[in-house]
Amino acid sequence: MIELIDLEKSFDEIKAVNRVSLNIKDGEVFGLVGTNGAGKSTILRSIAGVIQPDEGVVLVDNRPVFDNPVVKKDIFYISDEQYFLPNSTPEEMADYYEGIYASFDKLRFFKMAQGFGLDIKRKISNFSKGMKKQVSILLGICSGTKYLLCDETFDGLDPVVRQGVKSLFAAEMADRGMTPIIASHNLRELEDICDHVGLLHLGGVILSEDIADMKVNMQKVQCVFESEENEKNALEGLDVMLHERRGRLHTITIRGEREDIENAFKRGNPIFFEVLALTLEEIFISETEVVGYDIRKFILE
Amino acid sequence: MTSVNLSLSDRIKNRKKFINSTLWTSLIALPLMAIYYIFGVIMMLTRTINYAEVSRQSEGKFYHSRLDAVIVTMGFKQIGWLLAMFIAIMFAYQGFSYLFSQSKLDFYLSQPTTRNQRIRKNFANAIGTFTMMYVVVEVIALIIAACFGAVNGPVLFNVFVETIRTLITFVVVYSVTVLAMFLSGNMPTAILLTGFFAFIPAIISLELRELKDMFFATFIDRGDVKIFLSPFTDRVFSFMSGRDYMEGMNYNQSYNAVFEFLKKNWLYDLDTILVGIIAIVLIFVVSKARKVEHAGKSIIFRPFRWIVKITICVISGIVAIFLMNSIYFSKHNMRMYVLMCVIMVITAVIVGCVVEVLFDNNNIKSFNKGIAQTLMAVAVLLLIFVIHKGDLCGYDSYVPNTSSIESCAILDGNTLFNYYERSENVFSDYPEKNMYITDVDSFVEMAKLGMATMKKNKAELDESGFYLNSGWNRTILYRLKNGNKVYREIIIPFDIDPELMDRLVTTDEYKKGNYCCFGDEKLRELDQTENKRLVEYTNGLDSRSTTKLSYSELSDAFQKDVLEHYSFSLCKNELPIGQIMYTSTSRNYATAQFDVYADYENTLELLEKYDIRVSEKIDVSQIEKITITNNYPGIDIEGKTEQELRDLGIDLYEKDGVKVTYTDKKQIEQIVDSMFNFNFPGEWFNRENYLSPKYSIEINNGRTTYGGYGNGFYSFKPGEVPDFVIKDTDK
Repeated sequence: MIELIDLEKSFDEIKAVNRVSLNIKDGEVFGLVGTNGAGKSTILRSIAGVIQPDEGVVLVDNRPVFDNPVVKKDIFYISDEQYFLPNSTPEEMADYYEGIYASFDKLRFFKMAQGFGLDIKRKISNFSKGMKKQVSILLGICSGTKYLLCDETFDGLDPVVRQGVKSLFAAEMADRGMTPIIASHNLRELEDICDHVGLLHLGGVILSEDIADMKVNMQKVQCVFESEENEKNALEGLDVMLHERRGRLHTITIRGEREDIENAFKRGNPIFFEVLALTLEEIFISETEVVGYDIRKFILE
Repeated sequence: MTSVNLSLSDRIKNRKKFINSTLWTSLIALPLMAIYYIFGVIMMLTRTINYAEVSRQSEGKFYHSRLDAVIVTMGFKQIGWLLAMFIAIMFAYQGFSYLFSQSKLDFYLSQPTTRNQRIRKNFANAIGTFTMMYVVVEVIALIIAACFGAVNGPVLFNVFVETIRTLITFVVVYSVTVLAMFLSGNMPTAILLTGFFAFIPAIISLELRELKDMFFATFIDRGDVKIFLSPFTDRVFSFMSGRDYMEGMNYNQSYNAVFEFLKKNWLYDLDTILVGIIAIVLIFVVSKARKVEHAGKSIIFRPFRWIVKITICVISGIVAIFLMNSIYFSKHNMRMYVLMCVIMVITAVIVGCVVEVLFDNNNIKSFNKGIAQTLMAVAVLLLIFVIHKGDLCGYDSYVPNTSSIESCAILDGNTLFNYYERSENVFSDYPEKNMYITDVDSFVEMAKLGMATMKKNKAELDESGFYLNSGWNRTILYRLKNGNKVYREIIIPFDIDPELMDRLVTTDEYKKGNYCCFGDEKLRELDQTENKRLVEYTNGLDSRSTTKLSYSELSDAFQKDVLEHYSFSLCKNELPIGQIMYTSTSRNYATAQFDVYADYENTLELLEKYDIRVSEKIDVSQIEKITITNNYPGIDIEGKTEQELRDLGIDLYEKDGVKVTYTDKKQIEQIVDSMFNFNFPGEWFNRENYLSPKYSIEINNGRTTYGGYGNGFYSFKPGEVPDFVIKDTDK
């Protein structure tokens, strides 16, 4: 488990991370969401042991990570701007990492690279941005580390490759309990892969929750009532988070379990009633608006 | 397959790949080293063979030359250390360039290693790679040299020691460069800072020396230049002393010569090692304080930034002083010093603004930042200026405590011997090496008077721009008991107590230390073996010569006369009556001049024995005509000082003289009786008392004119100018 306890980091006068506390459990995909400058990369670099926090501590399996090679053996960090040794090929990078990570599986890397259509003998400097990201991801996966930190890694990947990578992550998690921590500024990108999401804004964590819990405890309902009285009866006692009206059609986001909400709506005899699937985006909008943030301004593309 | 399962060959292969990727500059360094050492030794040896054939060298000489070739390429005389420095800088920039790039920092620092481990690994890679390359090319070069028969035990030992020294140089320069990189946030700053570390100690040392020269009357640019904490100058100086090493006897066939060289240069080597230790310690201290986010900045630690800025401002301010001094090179009155001070301050302020712009990644808006540091630099500059101008450190009055002085010497008095070996006159520093005056109290008494006169002269020169000739200009040397040497330039006043000077000069310590003939073994050997000589005696107008008089006989007679007759009083009151010029035209060109006084009976006897003595009295019958020039007609300048003449509005340097030629034998005889022969000025003669600038005399014997520019010197004794000359020329 990775624990961030009261983490603080400033660059000159700018506070990049402000008293952030997070728990990242083993075996789950943790998503760090936030705008540019929200502190995602700083947090990932702190977890990777690249940055020393000004205050607070990063514990990986209860051990501080900074300047601790024993802990860092369990971490592979794919930065936003990947660096490869000068004039190197994927094969040479694999050779290099073979000397760095004891559990690096070179043969597997070669196979996977072949599967992704990457020429292991071609210079990486001649690769496209997306291909470079693929090389980094495959190197990270084949290093066999427990934690894989990905900073904006899915940016630039085409949907097919993205899907392939997600499958690989799933397989690694199932096989050896790998814990990917993915930072992105795009909520939609993380929706179908993350188990838990932490939302960052201006260096602080707005919220951090399991997506499943969020979805179970929040429902989106579309309905049409005959009268205002029926509407009042239906919504009585419900924790309404958002309520939009378009003509007679109501779209209501309500905190609570689906069964309780369905029972409540029966009291209002709606002409039309349907419980819709909530997107991660909608959950976030609802959650953050409640605490006073207009997330649409800074999180949605 | 994982690394734990890797075979040794795979590990080596991976290592090679890693070095190729992370230290690819070694691919440039290796050919450079091969060119210098392998091709260098081949070229030097083939050149030696070629030269030996052309000059028909003996087998012994040829062997000696071959050994030399190896020492010049790989031993103490090599310049491969420059290459080692270049490679060290190159390796450092490549190995630690990750410090300036976020993506590289992410790549390296996220790997399972500590920062210290990474630094150590980079050091090990660089040192290991360089050592391997150096040793390989040296071994190949030595094998080639051995094939040419150019290697023996001492040469191998020499090369081995030099290899260690070069490796140390590499490590030190590498460390200093890495330190510069750790203190910088980007590559251009790191390069500038490397230059700063490399040259600042030398620049500061030379500037301080120049300041002393400019402000202190008694400063003399002699003695070793002391530059500390500078591996570059350490190496330059020890390379220079390699030349002395090559002059030693059997240097390429003696193990002792190697130890002698190390003994002579231990201070340079120690300084280099000290710099390395300081740099390595600082690297580990600074690396702890350095943060990832410092990448991209200029100089990252504020206190160090201040030090750099203040240093650059101060150095620039001092350079401005030197520029001013070169423009107004002689007259230095108070107005000029004030102007100098103002220019110095303005320069420091402007440089401070430029430095701030550079510090802020060329942001012009930052020019007015760091005012506090600029003010500190100005304060330091003003302090330096005031200390030097006012001589607050007492430089011009410093005399070492007599109890701390071991011996003293008066230098520059006698420079009449020349014997060239490897383009250097072996007698050039004879007094310094041989004069050991132990009457310290008398010496200090004389020195104090000399320093006071020197200061007075400098003050006069500064104020008026004119030089006062008030004494004998000499360099003095105190050898202190702690091994230090103190040099001062003084003017021994003409009116100094002769008794005091006799206590110093009329001693065997002075005579044997001043006259090169007391240490002329090389000349004696040359004269004996080569026997190609010419000994000529002249009175200035007439001369005779012989090839029969041997140098040893001449030197023995002259030594005897010097020991018996030479004294301060003699040299102060009399001029030499003639001069013997010994010339050897053999393989080593050598000359020796002996000033002969009337009392030097042994020498004069010898001249008579070989029939080369000419009378000191000028033979009037040989003179065809005499031309006299009155440089200042109508002006009575006799008995007046330069200042008094200037006060009268007379410019001594603007001559518009009257020239008269005399052919009448009677007039010529009268002129000859009244004139003075200054062809041999002597060591302690005050010619100002005798030599009037008003008249100049040219003597013509029908073939040559004497007394003209560059060919002898005659003038009238004061008050003894013949009346007809005054009448004819004072129009």
